[in-house]
Amino acid sequence: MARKPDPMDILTGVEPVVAVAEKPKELKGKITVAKVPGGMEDVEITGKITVLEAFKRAGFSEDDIDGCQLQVNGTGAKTTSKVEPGDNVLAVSKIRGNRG
Amino acid sequence: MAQVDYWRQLGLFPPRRFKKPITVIGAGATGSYIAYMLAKMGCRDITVCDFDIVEDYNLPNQMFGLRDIGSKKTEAMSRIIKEQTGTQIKTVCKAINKAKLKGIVFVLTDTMKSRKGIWLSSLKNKKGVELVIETRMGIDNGRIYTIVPTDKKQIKFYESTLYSDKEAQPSPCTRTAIAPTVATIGGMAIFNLINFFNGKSYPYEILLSLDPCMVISRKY
Repeated sequence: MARKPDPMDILTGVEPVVAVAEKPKELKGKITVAKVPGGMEDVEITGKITVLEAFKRAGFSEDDIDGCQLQVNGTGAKTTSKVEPGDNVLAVSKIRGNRG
Repeated sequence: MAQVDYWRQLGLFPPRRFKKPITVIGAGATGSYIAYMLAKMGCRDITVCDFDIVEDYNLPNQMFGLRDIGSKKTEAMSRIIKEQTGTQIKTVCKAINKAKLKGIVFVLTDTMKSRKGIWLSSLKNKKGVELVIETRMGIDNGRIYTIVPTDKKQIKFYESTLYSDKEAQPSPCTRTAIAPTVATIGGMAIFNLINFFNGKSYPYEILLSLDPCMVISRKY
C-alpha cells in the first residue's frame, strides 16, 4: 500500500514507499463478425471496440447493418455495445418472408 | 393398386413410426413445399391451413401448376398430394386464431403480424404442441426457428426474434422468392423435425445466406 510521504520521514530517515499501479494490458485477439446475408470475417482487435466499429473493420458500412438485429455472443446488442477479443458479433436482416 | 415403398429412408425416417399430427399454417412458398415433402416422406396426419387462392405469380416458387390458378391453395395442395403420394391431407381454409393445435406445427405465413398472432393465441405454453417450426424467407436468405413452446428459455429466446412488419426490411417486388431458396429452407426445416423425432439435437435457430453461402446455427 502506498502512503503519502510524511515530512517527518526526512527527520527519521524512513524511505517513503510508493507503489505504482500497473496499467492493465489490453487484450489482443480476433472477433468474428458476420452479417446475414452478407458474409463473415475474422477481425483482429486490441482491447474493446464498439459493434459498429467491428462491422466497419469487417468491411460493412453503417448503412449495411441499418435495421438489422444485432447480437454479441447470441445476446441482443446495439451499435454502441462493446466487444472484445473472442466475441462473435452478428447482424441479421429482419426478413418479412415467406412471400411467394 | 400401387403403393409407395419407403425402404430407402427407413434408417432415418420410418414413416410408420411417426404418428404425430402435423399442422402446416400457410400454403405459400415454403408451406406448399413443406407439406408436399412431408407427405412424400410418408407423414399421414397432415393438416394444411390457408385462406388464399393460387395466382399466376405463385407458380414459379410454389408447388402449384397451371391448372390450379384460381383454386383455393388448400384444395390444390390436397389434390397434388393425393395424386403424388396417395395421402389424403386435411385442410382448413381460414386464418388461424385461437386454434387448438397438437403435435408439430409449422408456421409459414408471410407477415410478422400473423406469426406473432398465431404464436400468442395458439402456440405459446400450449401443452399439446410439441414443436413449433417457423421460417422466414428472403430471396437468397432465411431464418428457421425450432422451438418447444412450453420451454421458458426457448419462449424467451423466440420472442426476442419477433419484430413488427414495419421494422422488417422490405424486399423489392422482383426479389421476393425463388424456388431453390424455398426448397433449401423447407428441407432444413423438415430436417429439424427428423432430428427431433430421432431424439437428436437440432438447432433452435438457423440463419441462412445463399449469396454468399453461409449457415449459422445455434443449439442448446
